[in-house]
Amino acid sequence: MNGSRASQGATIRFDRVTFAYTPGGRPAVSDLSLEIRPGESVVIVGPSGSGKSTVLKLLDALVLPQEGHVLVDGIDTRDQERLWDIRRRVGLIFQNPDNQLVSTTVEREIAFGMENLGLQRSEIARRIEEVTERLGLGKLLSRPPHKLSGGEKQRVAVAAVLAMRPACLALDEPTSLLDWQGRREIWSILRAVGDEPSRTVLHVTQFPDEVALGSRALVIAGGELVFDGTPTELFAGAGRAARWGLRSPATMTVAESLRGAGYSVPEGIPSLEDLVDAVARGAEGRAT
Amino acid sequence: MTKRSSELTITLEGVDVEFGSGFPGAHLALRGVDLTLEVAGCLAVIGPTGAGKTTLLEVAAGLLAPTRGDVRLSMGDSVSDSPLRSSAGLVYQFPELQFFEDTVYEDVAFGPRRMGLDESEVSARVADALERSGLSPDAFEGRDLTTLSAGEKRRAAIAGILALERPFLLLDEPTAGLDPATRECVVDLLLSESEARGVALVSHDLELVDRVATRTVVMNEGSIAVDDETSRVLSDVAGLEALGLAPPVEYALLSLVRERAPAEARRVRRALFDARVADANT
Repeated sequence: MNGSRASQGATIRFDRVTFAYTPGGRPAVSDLSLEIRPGESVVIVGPSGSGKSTVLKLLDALVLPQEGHVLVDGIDTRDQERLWDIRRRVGLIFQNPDNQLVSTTVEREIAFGMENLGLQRSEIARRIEEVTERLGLGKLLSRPPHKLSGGEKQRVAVAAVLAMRPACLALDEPTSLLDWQGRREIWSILRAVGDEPSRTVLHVTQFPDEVALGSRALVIAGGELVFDGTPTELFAGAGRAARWGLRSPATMTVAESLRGAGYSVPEGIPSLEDLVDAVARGAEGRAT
Repeated sequence: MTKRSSELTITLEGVDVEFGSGFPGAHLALRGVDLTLEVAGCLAVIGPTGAGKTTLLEVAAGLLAPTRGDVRLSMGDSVSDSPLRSSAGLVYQFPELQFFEDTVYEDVAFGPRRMGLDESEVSARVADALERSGLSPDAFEGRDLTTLSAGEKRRAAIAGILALERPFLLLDEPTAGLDPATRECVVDLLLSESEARGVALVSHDLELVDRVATRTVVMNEGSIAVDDETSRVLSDVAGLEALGLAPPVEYALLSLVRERAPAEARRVRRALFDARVADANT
């Protein structure tokens, strides 16, 4: 398992970054500053068109800031000579896996990125075995990627990126085109990867229910950073998250109804299990 | 919409649809489907990927002829002579990928103009359809389609179908990929349209289904597995999960409470239901 991990997570710094897709036009990201420490698992939320995805593009040097600097482990994304060092550190997963699957079999797909890193065949084979086991892709290895379900495709895309052992995994709405089954598969992977101290994770999403997958939440609205705190803090207090068009996670709304009925539900973003526990405890309370 | 359109129904009887008939790899997308769509209310069609949901909408819209079986439009007891196609409007998944005019006005006006309406009627319909989609006509009619946000594009695309003023509105995954704010607009639109016409939608989003649909059909492998009141369908949590569908949190919780603390089920049910009634009143 050790082998599939980066030796150390990446440090990311945005220093007063402004970027507009058309020079002189409305900035997609405006005077944005933030620092992400190695191993942090960060979820970025915000309304559509808020600049969330642009942050990931800036991070991977797919676009360059017109003002300010983006630094990955201290390397400026504007330093064209070190582009390779940045791309090797940042593994990007897109919304639509069809946009990043290029090979004829799942096995070749996972190998593709590593071949481009110039890894030896034996090393490639070893890493394929590792990520295959880890993401449960064993049965799919010889299948053509285009014949897989959406969730399976996205798992293959994640596996191919993880096999390259990026210090930072950046995901742009990885579940938005998937059905529930597919989303659950990606969630369990994100939970596991997010817990690794050796990998920095940036996950852009529109789903409030996914905010709890990270330990830190950022809200970007109108190209600016408007919130930086824990997921629980984001949804605490009435109306704060709603101001940016973010609904509370469904389990929080249900928790509120249960409190109204006299059950004692802990604060924060509860899981379904937490809710059932609260109800069961309430029953015991009345029985004794 | 002519006389007594409240009795208008679309009926599918024993419908099979086979793709690639007679060729290797032929695939039966619908198998013996019986379904009636009425001209008011909202029907949801749910089911795993590949269950035949989209094919069902295409047949009901008159865009795809069944391989076997019958699909017809009836007025009361008699078969209507107007073609199915001019009675139903179908909003495909990601309809904003099908814009082909330059401005919002031109794109929404495309359908009504092909119906041969005069320009004053066309313009009235465009304004009305945009209004119903939550886009102010004054602000949006002249906009270049490429400058709209993703949510605005979706609403403009739906307006193009609303402008046809068909008695049936069919939608395939109308909220897929939308941000929460636009999703709320679509919820409002579905609720108000289903008062005036028959709405049927395909969706993976069971929370949406719970809020808008009175009746729900579950499809699996081309057949209708369940056809019942939405709240009853969503209460079968185990059945939904077996098909890879996510029941809304309220239903999932209630089902777990029934297992682990059955004596609390009624109280929890009331708590969740009361909260909803309160929501609806605010």
